[in-house]
Amino acid sequence: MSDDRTIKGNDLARFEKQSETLSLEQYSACEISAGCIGVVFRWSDLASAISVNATVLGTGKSLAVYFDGVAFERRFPKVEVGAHVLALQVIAGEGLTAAVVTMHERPGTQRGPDARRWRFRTDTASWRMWLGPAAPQGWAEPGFDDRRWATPLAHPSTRSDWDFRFAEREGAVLIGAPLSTAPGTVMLLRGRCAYTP
Amino acid sequence: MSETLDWLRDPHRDGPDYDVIVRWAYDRLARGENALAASLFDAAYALRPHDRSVANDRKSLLDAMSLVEHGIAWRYVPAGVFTMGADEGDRDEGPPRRVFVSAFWAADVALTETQRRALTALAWPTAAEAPTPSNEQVFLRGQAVRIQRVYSLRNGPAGRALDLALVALGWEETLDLCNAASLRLDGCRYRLPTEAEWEKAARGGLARQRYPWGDDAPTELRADFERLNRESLCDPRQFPPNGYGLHAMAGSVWEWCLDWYDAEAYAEGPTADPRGPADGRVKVLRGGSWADCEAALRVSFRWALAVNGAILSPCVGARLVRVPRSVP
Repeated sequence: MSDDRTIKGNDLARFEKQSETLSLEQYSACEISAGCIGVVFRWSDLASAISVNATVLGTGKSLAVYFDGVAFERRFPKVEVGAHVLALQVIAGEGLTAAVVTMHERPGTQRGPDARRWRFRTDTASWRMWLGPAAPQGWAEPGFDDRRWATPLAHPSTRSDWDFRFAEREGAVLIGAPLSTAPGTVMLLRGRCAYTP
Repeated sequence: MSETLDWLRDPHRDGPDYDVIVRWAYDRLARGENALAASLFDAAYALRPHDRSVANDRKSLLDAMSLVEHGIAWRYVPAGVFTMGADEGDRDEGPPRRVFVSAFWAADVALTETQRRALTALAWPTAAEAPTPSNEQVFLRGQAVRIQRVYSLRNGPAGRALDLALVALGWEETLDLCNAASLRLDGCRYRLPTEAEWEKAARGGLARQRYPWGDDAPTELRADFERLNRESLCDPRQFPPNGYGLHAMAGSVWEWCLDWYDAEAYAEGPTADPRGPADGRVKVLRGGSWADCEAALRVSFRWALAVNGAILSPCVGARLVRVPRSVP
């Protein structure tokens, strides 16, 4: 026997858009230009890619970030279905040579039922580090063999910058080179993530 | 075969063969019965869009029946039956159904600031307050002003920005604008399109295709979409028009429709000039925006938002239609 409340709920649902195939993301005026109270909406197909929030910070003289071998778009990035490699290059300066990375699925996305089984995962144990005078050829490419690279060191945070502290509050760890690393040394980091059903 | 044209208005009847429809179209054209000829050409085009000769004559007739009024290019969309919805995508896009839509004119682009002022006879700022990229008074639309400035002015000089789509446009605000503009006209009036009118216009005369140009996936040459990082609008006329001469029916801005949203509307609603349910919670939006993925640009994809103006979005605008006063 049917439940009256269920029937009423279903009747009301037909008057609100509920997508089975696409997901609705909302970006507030704090994230993207939209006046004082505006909202930017984006319909996304989670069966092909997912929107993630990413923070990539480095100490040292400079930081370059690549995703699957191409410069990483850090503002509203999308990660396509499959396995991926995030690659960082930090040029050592005075003091600590390290980086902190957070990447997670954008919260609050309204998912349709077809997309609920898809997950974005980062593999924190996969990070590999290389130190030297110049980056080897193809080091940022997904197929590059980094199995002989070292495991980076986890450093206790000494940073007082707000963006580092926010990243650490989300559980990210500062990883990088030994404290004795000479200024000008190139530090490369490679980590893995995946978006799969 | 006798020239019976009831099938042009009846979603439940099939028309005659292609060659017969084409012959009747040219007959009516020769008699100066342009509206009927346009409907017949449109029916022929839906069957064989690649018949260049007929497609060209159809285009010439539709061009001739279009007009410019209050600074807006109004493109003629002939009366006729088309298949609304799709059997792919979300459940609310189906079941596909054949519906009849009366003739109307649709603006060739989504509403712009230039058009808004022409429709309402709203004066431009005086020389002392001449529009500049830093002058918010040029738009005079309250909170929406700041959003409009960012998305219009970022992409080019101020003069051109006035011909980009108005964004952060509320449904009620658009309705008020249409009513004010209609008071200044005899014989016709302006309003938002019904959902059926919007979809017929978006399809451009093509039958059961995904996008206004056919089944090929969108590209940056065809539509303004998937550009969240850019926070700007493209000129709608940089994209090729569809078969009715309408630009940017996919992407650019979501366009308000007159209808309340009902996921079951296609299964239950009328098939002649359908107007959605009598009441509802949210109003229909169509077409996708500069921020969306390609699947949201499909001509059958449906969305809806509240009309109370609580949400201002740089993704939302409107495209007006022009109808004879005899049409509701």
